[in-house]
Amino acid sequence: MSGVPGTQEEEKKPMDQSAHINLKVKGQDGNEVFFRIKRSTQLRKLMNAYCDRQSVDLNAIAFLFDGRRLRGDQTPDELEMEEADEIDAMLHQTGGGHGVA
Amino acid sequence: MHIGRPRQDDAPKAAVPEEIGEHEPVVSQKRVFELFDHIKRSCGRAMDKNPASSMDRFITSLRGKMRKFKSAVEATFDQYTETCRSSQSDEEKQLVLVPRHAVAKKPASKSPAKKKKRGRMPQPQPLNIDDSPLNASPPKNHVEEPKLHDEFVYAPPDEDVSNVPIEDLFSTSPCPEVFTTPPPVQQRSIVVARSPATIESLVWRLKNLPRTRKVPDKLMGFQHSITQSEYVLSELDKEILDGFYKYYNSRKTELDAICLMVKSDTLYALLEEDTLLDTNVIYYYFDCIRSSCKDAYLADPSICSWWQGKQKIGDDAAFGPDGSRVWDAKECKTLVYILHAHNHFTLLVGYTDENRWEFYNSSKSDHYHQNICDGFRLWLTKRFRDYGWGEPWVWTNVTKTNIPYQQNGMDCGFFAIGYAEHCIHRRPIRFTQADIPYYRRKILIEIFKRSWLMNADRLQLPNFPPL
Repeated sequence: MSGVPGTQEEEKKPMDQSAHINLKVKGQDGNEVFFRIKRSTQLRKLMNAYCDRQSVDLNAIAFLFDGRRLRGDQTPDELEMEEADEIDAMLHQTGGGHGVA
Repeated sequence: MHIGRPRQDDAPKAAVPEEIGEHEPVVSQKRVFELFDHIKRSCGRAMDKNPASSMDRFITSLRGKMRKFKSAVEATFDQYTETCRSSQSDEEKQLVLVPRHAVAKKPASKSPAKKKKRGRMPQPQPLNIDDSPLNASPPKNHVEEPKLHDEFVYAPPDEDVSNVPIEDLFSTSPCPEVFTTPPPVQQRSIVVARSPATIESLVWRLKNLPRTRKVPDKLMGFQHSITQSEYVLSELDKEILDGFYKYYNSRKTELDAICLMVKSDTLYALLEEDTLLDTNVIYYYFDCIRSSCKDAYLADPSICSWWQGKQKIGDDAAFGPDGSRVWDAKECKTLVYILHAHNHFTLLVGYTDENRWEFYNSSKSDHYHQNICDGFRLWLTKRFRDYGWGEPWVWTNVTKTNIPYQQNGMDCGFFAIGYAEHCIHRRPIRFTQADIPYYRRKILIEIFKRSWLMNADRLQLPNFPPL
């Protein structure tokens, strides 16, 4: 899936910019999806939106920012995120064994 | 579906016009707390790092934040009084009154990595997920609908904060007595809320676990004494599970607010013998171990597969921004890294006090993962060296062979964290394949327990035994 969403053109007025923040979610395959989110909005909203777009379960993905896991109840403000910051979305790995009978 | 904010947000909107009528500026209490949290965090971070190099940055950042705080309060007040003079409609006044994050510029402190990122602005149109929970209402105005749920009446500070010496800012908090509503309850649970029925059956199953363990004859040599007491539910465990159940039952209506990141379904599945472990569960189990064992450095298991190729992500997860985690690791006695390749978990343990790396592979016939481990260790120790910690580079490397091995193709993850737990506590590793079912339960119980403990203060259960 392409990382360029074609929806919801938003006007970018100077007043608006401070309350909102543009974040980039980068998947394991290198695809990037951009989100515009209010600084005080919980990131769960972003996570849900991303997972819906990618058609995966929320619990199958770890979201990382600066090497830390994000929780859904955190907000960009809390994490001191900045404009155009990047969040990494990584699938959880499962493992069982290596060819053992 | 209700997403984003806790439910109670919606209720107090109606109360606002009265506050406006009293000609008082309105500032989000949450915002004030957040600003102070930012300042506190900045202080903490600056103290953790090398003070000489980061003091300037810290001071700049702190000034910026104080400015932000000040303008959040004062600008609002000014705007408000202006608005009152020019007779506008009530609705417009209300909009102006909302404290804007916008008023101040971002503080100056940034890591070099972040500066780099800033240069590249996203080209494609971003999804605006605020204004359109599902599909969309177009934006009406650049002024946002104010969020009024936990606002309070705030008196503007008399003095100019930017001229106050920094030292004074640490000790004073501005007029705490004017806060009229308590801060929002922190959300801490790590287990996703499910329907009580699921939890009930889970509790039931856990309570009815068999209490004895059968060890096949061929494994008798590996049998150890601590398993029995450790892996079987104690009365306390049962009580905790009960508490957890009651907790969820009593909070059915706000499940969305207390939840996160591990589903009880996932944990429930762990009870089945053929379920594979995933890095998410390992992550949260490590979280449990970490809280009981402070001198172990348990790396996020997710780095196990990211260090190859995905340099930036692996770097951040393994070393933290600016390599801050290297120093955390250096101060711990045991370093634990879960490795993952080709659907198989292995374990690399470093003993900082004994200058040794140990590699554990639960698959006896497998030599491929030895190479994976060597590659990882090379990468890790090189980066440690780059960050100024050279010793791990020359530690002895040991591949452990006299250890219990898995007897099936499913349990490597449990073996890996089983080894890890024994290494952290420096116990001889003597569990066997026969213990794994118990170990699965233990993991499940620990995660539930931790989740329960994190929420214990919100749950009123009489006669709960002290922990």
